[in-house]
Amino acid sequence: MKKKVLSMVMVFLLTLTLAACGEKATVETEGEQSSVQQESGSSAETETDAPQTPKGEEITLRFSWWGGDARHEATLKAIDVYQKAHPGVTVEAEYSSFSGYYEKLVTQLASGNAPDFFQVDQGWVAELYARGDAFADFGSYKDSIDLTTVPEQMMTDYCIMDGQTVVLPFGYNGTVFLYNKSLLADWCDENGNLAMETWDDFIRIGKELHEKNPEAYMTTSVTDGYLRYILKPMLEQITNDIDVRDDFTLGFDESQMTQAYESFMKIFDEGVSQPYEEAVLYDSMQNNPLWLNGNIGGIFLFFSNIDTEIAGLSYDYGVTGMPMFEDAEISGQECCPSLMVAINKNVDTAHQKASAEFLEWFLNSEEASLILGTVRGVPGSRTALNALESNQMLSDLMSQGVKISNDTISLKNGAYELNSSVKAVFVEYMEKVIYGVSSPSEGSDGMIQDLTKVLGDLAGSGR
Amino acid sequence: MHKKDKYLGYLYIAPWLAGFLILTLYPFVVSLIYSFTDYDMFHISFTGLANYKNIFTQDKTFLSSLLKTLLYTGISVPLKLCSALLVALMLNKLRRCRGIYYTVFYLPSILGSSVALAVLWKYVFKKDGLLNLLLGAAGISGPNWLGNPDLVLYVMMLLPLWQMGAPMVLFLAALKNVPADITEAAKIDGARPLQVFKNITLPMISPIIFFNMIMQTIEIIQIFTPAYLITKGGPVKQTYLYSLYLYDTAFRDMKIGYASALSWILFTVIISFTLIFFALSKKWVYYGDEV
Amino acid sequence: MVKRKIKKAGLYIVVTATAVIMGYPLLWLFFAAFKDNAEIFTSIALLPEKFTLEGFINGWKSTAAVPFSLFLLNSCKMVAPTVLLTAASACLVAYGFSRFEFAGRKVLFTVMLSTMMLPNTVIMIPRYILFNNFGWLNSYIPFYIMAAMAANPFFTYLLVQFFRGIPADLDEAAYIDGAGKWQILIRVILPLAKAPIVSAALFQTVWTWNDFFNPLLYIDRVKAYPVSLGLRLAIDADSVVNWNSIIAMSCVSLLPVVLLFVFLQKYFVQGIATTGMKN
Repeated sequence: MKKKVLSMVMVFLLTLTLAACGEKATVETEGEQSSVQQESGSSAETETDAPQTPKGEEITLRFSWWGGDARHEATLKAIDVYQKAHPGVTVEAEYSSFSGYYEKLVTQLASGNAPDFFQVDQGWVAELYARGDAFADFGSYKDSIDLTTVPEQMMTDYCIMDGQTVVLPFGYNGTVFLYNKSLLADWCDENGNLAMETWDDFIRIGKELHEKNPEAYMTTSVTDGYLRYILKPMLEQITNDIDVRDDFTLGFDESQMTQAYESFMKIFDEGVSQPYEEAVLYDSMQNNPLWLNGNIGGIFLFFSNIDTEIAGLSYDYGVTGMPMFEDAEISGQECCPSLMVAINKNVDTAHQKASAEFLEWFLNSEEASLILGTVRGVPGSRTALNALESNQMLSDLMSQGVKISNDTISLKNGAYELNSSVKAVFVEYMEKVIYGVSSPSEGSDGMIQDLTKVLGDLAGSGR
Repeated sequence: MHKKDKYLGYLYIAPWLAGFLILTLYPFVVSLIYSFTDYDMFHISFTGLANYKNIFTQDKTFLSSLLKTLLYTGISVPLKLCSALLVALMLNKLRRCRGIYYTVFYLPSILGSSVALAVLWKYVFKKDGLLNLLLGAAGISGPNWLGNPDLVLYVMMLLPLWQMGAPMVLFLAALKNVPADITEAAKIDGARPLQVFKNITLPMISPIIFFNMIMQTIEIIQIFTPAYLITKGGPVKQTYLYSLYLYDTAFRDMKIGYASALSWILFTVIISFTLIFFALSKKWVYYGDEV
Repeated sequence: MVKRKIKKAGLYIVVTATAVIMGYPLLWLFFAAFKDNAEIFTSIALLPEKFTLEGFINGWKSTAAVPFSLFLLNSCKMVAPTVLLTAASACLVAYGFSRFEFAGRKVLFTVMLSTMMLPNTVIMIPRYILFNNFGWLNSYIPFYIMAAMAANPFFTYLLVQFFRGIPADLDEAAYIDGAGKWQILIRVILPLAKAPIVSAALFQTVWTWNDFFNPLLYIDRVKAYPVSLGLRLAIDADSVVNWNSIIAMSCVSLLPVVLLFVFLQKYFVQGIATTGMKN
């Protein structure tokens, strides 16, 4: 009896697998098998037709991104404008919140169902490129899209892999310190500029502030921010090297990490930062009551986020650069593209070309830049940035932030530095040290061991 | 039983059977196969028992998250079931305003795992939150419930307790089936309320107690929401429950093969518990059809 | 008599106190919809300082280019058939498992239960590939089919437990009266199992309504998003998040479900005295 059942199951399974494989080829063109109501029938027809027979006139492109209200609205508006100017092109917007986006994207990539072009985070690029072979080469579409608008350094550091341009930056970012002039008035000069150059200054001001006003702290952050805006810059200032090199080795040793942890812990031990266990509850400054109440001296952040973090608040703010150790040569700030865009390698050339044409307009044209503003950060494309600057579309604080960050010497991010598995190890040990579960030296020892393992896995992954 | 009924039985369960064969079996078998491979969504290579071997010999996170999950399940399932039963018993006695009370007790479950949940939970449990405000009024200075690694797991156990709506509603439905005349008769015969409860009510609702026990165990052992939405597994991984570890392994580290192996281990754990519960149920669960 | 009254009063006090503890946070959440962003996160008070309807107005307009009403409508389209199909399929399958003796019944039942025990994380991808091959993506068909095929054993098992509580003599009596198996189900079993069937429908409504990961995976077009996805569209760490709109729309999206619960409540409230239960 059991055998019978088992063999039946096996036969069934075999048929199923075969059926699945057989279907795969045709399913690529899957379009509107939906019971979901479409507002117009015509768009449905184009989609089923287009992939097989690119007539050159009618084409539907799928574009996915994540974001908040402002980004959705601006992008949809831009798409609308483009569609009006290009009657044959329909751009299907597939937008969502960040939560679940990556999971869905990899599932789509794995099953050959990904959009024609899609937004990716800089931290995903190296791994998706190595594992998924997911990205088409923009270089093949040079005639459709101008690749020279992005600064060369940015292209070589972040966009080109093995000679192929696999991604392009939407926007780029750098870390600055946004401070509350009203709260820190005592430490600002007559022009309202904060006199803070070094970490010692930072800690001294923080100590004095907290003593003067026990409710106030010099800074706070989210978990990710403590790592990326404070601990890692400190480490890079010590090592003068990137943390995770592109050859999967580490740019620091145990004693350097220990030293970084010791400096880092001062911000908690001396009452400079809001206690971590309180800060950790908030996933954004917009939820942190101390920040909202004006009881935080300042926060480290990406300059693109300045306007977001002070929205609705009525204090006076200033921007300054990353504090440095006395003898440090580089700031350790992250200055890199944050959001990037890739074209799906697994769609036909007609769709790739049309995507490239759309992106040329979306990334480089003045028209699009003025619609999009800074919803994806300060544009990586020079033409777009010029358009924004000449139309005064960057706020004063943001322009200052861009300038400060550009003038700071910093290293590029390693390709795997922001990889989520790598980052998870950093966060785990950072928390262990903060909570006193591990001493700085135990923390750096454990961290190096785990990182070595994770990097080993990544090195062996993909092709 | 009549002969043709034999086949009729299959006919009635056919919808499920067909669905199982077409929709469920394939993902199950595939994930079992994955568990013996190194699969990252794009490349696959057969590695035999390596995943299982690594899990049991090298993986510290596996053991710690499994133990945390078992602790979590072991405390919150009985807590949730007892509270749901208690509330149902009380509500069942009410004559007036039942509807309002039913609604209030069920509402938290309707909230589900909505994004508002995280906002709400932090409002109650943060350092200067609602709970500490109340404790403060009583002269107690409360800790930072969610930021304290020693407390956070226990605080999270309150979430299923708060969302006890489903088992509560089922208990109410079951209690409704306990005929009032029987309990009244017993009381007139001089039985104490506790005796009536133990000897009449409890056996009569035992199938539903058992059902709730099984379902809540299966559900809570795989619980994902509190860790994913509210604490992200922290602080210091104190709420890094098994399902979150699994999720990270699959989607963050892209180790689908390894995650599949982790899943099948959890599957084994759950099914063992379930079979034990079923074996023990013969002693205390009574069905009406066993005449 | 006095003693009884005191007891009754005591009961009401305990129940009310518990209800306040359980309900207060929700009440706070409701009022938070009328506060501005800063007040939501800085104030502990229940009532808003400055009462604003902005959350509701902006949320309803839904800044993400799709009016919120469409998300609600989509959720209804997704949930209603799913719930009806679930109730129907669960009744049939539960009847099959609880009232028939057939070879492999226990094994099949265990297999059915075990389908709940493998974490969704690893089933998601193969299932997505399967649905993609069937051409079911971007529609609610996956939800309908899963419901029609009683894919969630929770409901089936629930009904099995209740069906088994219905004495077999009732079946026999109906059988002697000439009723077939189908008529026994319709005339004897279902009327006696209204409460559990209604509960099952209610749970399925709540769960499908709140389901986030499955619709996220299966549905690409924002115009087809259910509320669970629509609500999160505005949440982004790098953007200004209008929490009052999100909370306001959370409240609005819960409203249909709450109304349904209130409406269905009579099935739990009214104690239909069922006779002939086992002693």
